[in-house]
Amino acid sequence: MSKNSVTYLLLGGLLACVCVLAVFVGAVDVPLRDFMDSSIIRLRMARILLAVAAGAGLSVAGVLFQGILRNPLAEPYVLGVSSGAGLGATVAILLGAAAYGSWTLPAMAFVGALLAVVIVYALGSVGRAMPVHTLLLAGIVVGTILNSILMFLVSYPWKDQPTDRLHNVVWWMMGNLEILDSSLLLAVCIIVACATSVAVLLGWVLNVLALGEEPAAHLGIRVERTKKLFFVLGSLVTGAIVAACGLIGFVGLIVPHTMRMIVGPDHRRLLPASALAGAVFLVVADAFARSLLATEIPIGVVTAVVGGPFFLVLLRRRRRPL
Amino acid sequence: MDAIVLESVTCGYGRSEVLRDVSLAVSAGEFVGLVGPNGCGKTTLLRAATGIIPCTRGRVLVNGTDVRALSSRELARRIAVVSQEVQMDLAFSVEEVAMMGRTPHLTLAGRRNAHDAEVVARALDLVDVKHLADRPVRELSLGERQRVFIAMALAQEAGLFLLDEPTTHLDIGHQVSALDIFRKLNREREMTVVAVLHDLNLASMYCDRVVLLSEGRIRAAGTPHEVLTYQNIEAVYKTVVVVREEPVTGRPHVFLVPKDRWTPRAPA
Repeated sequence: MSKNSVTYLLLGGLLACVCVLAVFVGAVDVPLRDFMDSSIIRLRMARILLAVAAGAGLSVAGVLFQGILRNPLAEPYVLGVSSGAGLGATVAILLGAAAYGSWTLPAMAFVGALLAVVIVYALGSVGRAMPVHTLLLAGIVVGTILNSILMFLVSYPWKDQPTDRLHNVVWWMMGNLEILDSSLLLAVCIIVACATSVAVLLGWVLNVLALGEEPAAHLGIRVERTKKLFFVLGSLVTGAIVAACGLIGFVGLIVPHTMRMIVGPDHRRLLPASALAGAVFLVVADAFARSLLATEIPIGVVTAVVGGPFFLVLLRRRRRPL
Repeated sequence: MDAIVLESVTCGYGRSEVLRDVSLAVSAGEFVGLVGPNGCGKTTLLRAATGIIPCTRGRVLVNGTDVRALSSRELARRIAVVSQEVQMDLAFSVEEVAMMGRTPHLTLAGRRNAHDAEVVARALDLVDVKHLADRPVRELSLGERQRVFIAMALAQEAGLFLLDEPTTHLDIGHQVSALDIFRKLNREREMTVVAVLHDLNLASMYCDRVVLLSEGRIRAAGTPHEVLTYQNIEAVYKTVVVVREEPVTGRPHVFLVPKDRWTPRAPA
């Protein structure tokens, strides 16, 4: 058995274990006998499923953005893509779009994410190059602006909006894995599964892109088309996840980076390994968020507290290409 | 049969024209050197030849077909480029990078077969990096890395090589060994080589024909003896040189002269 299959097996086994354990962790303590047939178990299982999908999807999106931008610090949250998705979803909520079906929310979030990618990409490129710091600055600035617009929309005293709905937006902004709409959960799972499959299948193209855009073009890769495809995939996944559980930062940074050290730079292995490890990471982070204090800590706060310092360490280290 | 033909090509970046009305025909099996001062359009000429930048006027033919009519995959099966722009600090293994040269031959799923592995193994063998196959490229010396990217280009199985300053950053030993590989391919397998070279003496030693570019136009083209004259070089590079015959190959050799030693040339 190769080293890589061992890695996949270990990660898969680990994921199964943490999922089972996470079912028994929570703010509400229930005796085991009542627990098995209570509705709490179904709620928790839905929540764990969402954590699995979101963790896997955010990690895959991170690998995709890092691959196309050839920048190990690219990540949906840092690039402002999550904020774009958040704004799109907020607009959808304010317009009452949820009434048109559970796909409208992720669709609007996807539009917002894509918009943010296009703006950051245009601002971050200097001529034909895209220096790492300009890209990060562009991402952070665009993210902040989009967040401010979102805050404005939330704070504005809309006549026909009940305040509790807006309060929900604020809570959701901090990252929340509580799932109320099972068809939204299904939508997220389908989008993440499809996008991950396409990404794994085309991972070898990302490998060629690591040579640089011009060398990749010399090898017959249609670079602009390929980049667009991966940008759309990454935005689609980010949009769906943000629509369901808000802004959860740094997962797409910590997980791919760690996996790159274990399985190497080859995207055909890095993508599935990151998807598995991301799922493990978010299930564990959520279990902590639910059990650490008497009240629940927003999951976005947990990932930011872990991921922020990680990001700074990477930023200070001499930059190495993928 | 011409491997590549530029027919009065004009092109550039945005509004600035870098190449103006350049015509050049390279026959199959030729070894052609492109020389000229910085910014004269050598690299742009290679980019125009591979269709990376489109011609605003004129056209480029590869084996008689207009590059615009070829898909990027088809083009990559005919032309292999050893580019300066390539990211050399890669964590990928030598074998993986060489395998990337098979890209234009792979289907969308990117599956490699036994033939691909065979071509890559031969390419690694030819440039003498087979023993490094499993090592990450970033751990190798510059000379070894350059050979890996040459192996990648070889794995493309194209008949035409375009080299963009393949010897920059290399010490003289590696410069000679890199160009020797292409001379061998050129002589033994009749591969066509077009190389942008900074070093006039390397161009003189290795090329059948030298093309001297200046300000986006071809200033002179012909054998090294015809092109590498002190008159041509002084006019284009705005410096004084002495040209003598190199004792081993009999090709012209260019010597530089520091400015404080410039004296009026004795009438011939």
